[in-house]
Amino acid sequence: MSQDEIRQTVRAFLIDNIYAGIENAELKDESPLISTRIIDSIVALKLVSYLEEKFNVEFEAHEVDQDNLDTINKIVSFVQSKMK
Amino acid sequence: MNQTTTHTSSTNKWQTLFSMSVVLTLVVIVIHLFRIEYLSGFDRYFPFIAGAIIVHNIIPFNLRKYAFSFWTLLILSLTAGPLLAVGAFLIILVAVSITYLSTKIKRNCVAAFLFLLLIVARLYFRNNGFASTAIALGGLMIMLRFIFLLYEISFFKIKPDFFMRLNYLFMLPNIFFPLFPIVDPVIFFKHKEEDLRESIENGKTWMLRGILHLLLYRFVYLYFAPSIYELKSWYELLSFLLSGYALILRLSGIFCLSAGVLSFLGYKLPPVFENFFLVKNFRDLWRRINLYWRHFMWRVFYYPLLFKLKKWPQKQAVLFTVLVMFFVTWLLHGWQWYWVKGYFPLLANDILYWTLFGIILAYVSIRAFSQSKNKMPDHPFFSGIGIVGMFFAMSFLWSLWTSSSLTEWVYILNKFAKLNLKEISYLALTIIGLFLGGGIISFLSSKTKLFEFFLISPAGISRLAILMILICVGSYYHYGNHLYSLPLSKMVEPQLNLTDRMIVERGYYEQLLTAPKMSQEIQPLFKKAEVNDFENLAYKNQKGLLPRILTPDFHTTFKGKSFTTNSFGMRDKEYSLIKTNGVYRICLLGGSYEMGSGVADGETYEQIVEDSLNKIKIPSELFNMGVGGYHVFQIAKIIPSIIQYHPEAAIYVCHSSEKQRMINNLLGLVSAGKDLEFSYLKSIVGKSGIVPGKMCNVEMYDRLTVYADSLLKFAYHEIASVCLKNNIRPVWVYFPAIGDLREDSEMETALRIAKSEGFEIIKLDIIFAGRDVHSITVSDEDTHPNAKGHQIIANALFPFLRKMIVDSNSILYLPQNK
Repeated sequence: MSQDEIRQTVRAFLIDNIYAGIENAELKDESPLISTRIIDSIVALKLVSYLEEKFNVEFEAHEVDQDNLDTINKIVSFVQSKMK
Repeated sequence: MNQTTTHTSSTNKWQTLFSMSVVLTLVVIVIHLFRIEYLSGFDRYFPFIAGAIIVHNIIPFNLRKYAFSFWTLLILSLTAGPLLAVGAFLIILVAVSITYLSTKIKRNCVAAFLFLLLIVARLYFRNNGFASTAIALGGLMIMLRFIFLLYEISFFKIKPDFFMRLNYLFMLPNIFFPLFPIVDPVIFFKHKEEDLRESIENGKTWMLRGILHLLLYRFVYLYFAPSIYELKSWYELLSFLLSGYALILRLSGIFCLSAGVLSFLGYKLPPVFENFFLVKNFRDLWRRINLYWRHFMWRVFYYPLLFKLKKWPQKQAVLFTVLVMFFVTWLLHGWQWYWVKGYFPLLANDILYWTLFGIILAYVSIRAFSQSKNKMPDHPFFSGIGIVGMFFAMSFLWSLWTSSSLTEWVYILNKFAKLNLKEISYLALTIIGLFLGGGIISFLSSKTKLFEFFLISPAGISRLAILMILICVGSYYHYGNHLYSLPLSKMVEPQLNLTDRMIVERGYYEQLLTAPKMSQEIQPLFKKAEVNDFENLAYKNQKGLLPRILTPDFHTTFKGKSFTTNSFGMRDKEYSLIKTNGVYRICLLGGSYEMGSGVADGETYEQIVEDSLNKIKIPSELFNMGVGGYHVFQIAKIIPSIIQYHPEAAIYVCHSSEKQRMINNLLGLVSAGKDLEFSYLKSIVGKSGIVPGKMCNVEMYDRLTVYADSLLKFAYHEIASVCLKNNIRPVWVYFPAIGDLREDSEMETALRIAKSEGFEIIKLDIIFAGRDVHSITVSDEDTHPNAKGHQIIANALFPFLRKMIVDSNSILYLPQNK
């Protein structure tokens, strides 16, 4: 799966699920999500489950953190690294 | 070119360091003027911290990691002494070495063994001041961060070196704020040479925010939070409920100060709290309050457990994990208090609070988990209502958590049910008004930029301006004359509020540490008072109404001062039982003020007055019969014993809040199961229906307060009648307690009762006006008068006693002119 496809999938999920309510255009690839608390523990968990199912990857507990999930770009890179 | 760049960069560095010094100097002045966190000693030692920060930023960046722990060790040596500092440091070194063990299992097992060892040692050395404090200090520093470090150490791509690990565990703010939260090690280890200006800006923002939060807390604590012993009207009950949660400002203030110190030392930390009073619902709360704690729980407990339950249905797994997490939160709060207090607090209200919180958050999590679609934000009006609603909800839960016991909480809430219809209407209208007000403000703020002014973070220059304003206001109150006539003077001369003072005094009377849930304000104070006030070797404990007496012919050191008793068991020089002709003899009756708690032999006001009278050829002897912890009932008990000394007069000394102190004293006696000896006291206690152990202190206090006037009249009558029957002049002297300088609403009642019982009156109610409280008290924690304070009392009392002796027929109702 290409980087863009992963990006679109992640973006679609976030638009549907993130807590505060946000428009597609407002969500930039570099917008911080965890550090600004746009993603909370529930959404992070849903996101991880979604990514695991969608891309057939497996997360470790310690990988659910800012380094891997704070921006769309980071999420995409992380998923890609997991898929390799 | 390179040389020019280096020169410019070097000049810039020195300019920036100069700016940092200016900012830190302003912060030092504000902290000094407002005595920020004075009970922990932070105000006294902050100049040293500021000095360390400047030196830290002067030395090259690659050397700073070696200096960080050195500053902690240095400041700890200054505050606790070098031996204690080294003791705590050794514990930290052991913890750091454990992180070097090769496998996770080895690290965790050895760490568990270290904790076990420290727990046992803390218990074993409970009565050994040095060992107990060193273990407590070491334990406090590693109690949570060590757990976090042990968890994360396995996942670091680049392992932190020895000094980075040491710095993480041995943090400077912990010396003053043991509960400073768990900084994420991942963030802490990202420490790199940032722009110095950014460090100053961050440090300044954190420090100013911390100071403002703590001042706001102090305002609420001293001026708004009513005493739980005085909750009668709907307004007081509502204030009690709402002000309790507002006191979270203390916690956020302390965290901000801690983060400020670390920022000045170059660590860039995220916010600990985020506009926590603007929380809209419980899910939002979890995202704004004590974020470091939340992050710690997520990383170390929540996700690991949830990932272990992957085979469970997700909702059940989330529900179970949230409930476990709250159980762990409760356990870890107790764990923190174990290191602070030396025991694990097992309180019903504590357990209920965390259970309720856990259930609510579990419900909210499950609900959020089921929501499939993005929820659009609420209408601003409803957001505002949500904010007010959450404030009420949190206030309600917080009042449960901070109560001394579940019975006390239920008793206080029950007072709402006893309000009459008119009061209920006022209460309901006020609550509706608050909700509507919240909605309207929120709506208006969404339509206008006006409110943004208050919410946006002020720019650097405004922070400096606020510091300057605080300096001006602080100087005005700090150095202005007649402090007590100024309504806001307590903002720079902080005192305990009534609830905390009652707890401390009850402890004083009972000699029991029965208050399991002291407010954070009195934690350090009580710990020191416990050591100081009860550890007088001259005290001999008694079984009856007198909690203790002074051992005759005894010499000791009490609070670092010489303390000698005569053969009569008085803290006084030796007198003959047989009176010399022409000598005017007075027995002085009272408590610790009269005994001279915290001053040396010969420095008590009784001794100064006696010496002054004899100096002007008025032969007189003042027998100091004051004993720490004595109040009106103890005086009534010992009054017959003064007859043997053949005094011409007996002085009973009354201080602030006479009735409250009397009830508190009686409550202490009843709770300790002491024999009340006087049948009248026994009958009143019987009539009041109080049952120690089954009723909370507030209820027992309320029940006894009904009889306060009768009890005071009884005691005064006992004292005066014995005196009058034996031709001894009963004299009632009043001067306020220095630790309680609020307007004394009970003085006039006490004075009226004393007059009606035949006492002659000396009213010295404004003798401390215009004085700097700290220059006349033993210490910050001990508000007994020091030698200077006793001199002031003696100077005020002397002319009245001279007149009394010279003109033995004078009537002494002589209120001072203001």
